[in-house]
Amino acid sequence: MTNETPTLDQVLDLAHKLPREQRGQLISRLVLELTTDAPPARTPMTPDEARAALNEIREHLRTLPQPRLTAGEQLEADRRGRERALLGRWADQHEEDDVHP
Amino acid sequence: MYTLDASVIGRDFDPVDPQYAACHALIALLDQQAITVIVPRLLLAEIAGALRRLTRDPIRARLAVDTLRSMPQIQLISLDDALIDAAAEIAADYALRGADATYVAVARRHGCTLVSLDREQRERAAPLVTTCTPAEALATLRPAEPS
Repeated sequence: MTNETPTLDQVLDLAHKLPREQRGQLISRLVLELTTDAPPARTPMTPDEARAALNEIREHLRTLPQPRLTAGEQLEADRRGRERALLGRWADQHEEDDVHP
Repeated sequence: MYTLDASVIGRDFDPVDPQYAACHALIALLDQQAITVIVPRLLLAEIAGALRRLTRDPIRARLAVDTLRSMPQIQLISLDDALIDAAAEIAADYALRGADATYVAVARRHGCTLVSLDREQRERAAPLVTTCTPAEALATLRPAEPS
């Protein structure tokens, strides 16, 4: 899935990967949201559902084309990018400083 | 109790990462031993942003956040004024990045060992909290092999 706004087919494709019970929950939540015109409160996943969802994300990341940053590398790049945005060129120049108090 | 930096938790999502095995083993062991992991709620935004930018997939980024909210051993700490002030002081005194200092402040307030893959964060936070790598935490938590 690579678009800014996912298509209906992409959402359905993802929904079909959910266990049967979660597909039912998804339908219920969407119906409630449409009939009340407001997003319902989020129902927390059970720990088992969370582990299953985590595994699904892992499998998706495993299939992404290489070479690429890993999730951890992306996160660290984001942190460094934020620092560069704050400090400009000084961020890189000070990266190796040892400034222990 | 442990505070896991986002550098550790983020890697548990991605089996391609060279550090995945250690991070995944640690998080699984903490789960298995019902050891509480205390992290700033900031983690959710960091993970969501990284996964969204990596996958270009907003749905999976949200799903990742939901999994973290639903993990029984993970306790998300809201950043109150005192915690933000503490993080600011730590960032100023120990030359840590803002997000890094936030994890240190949470670890210190809750008496947690800080586990991070960021050497700078570990070294600079060491005067304030116990710090270690995922591999070191695993060695501490795993029962000694019978001789």
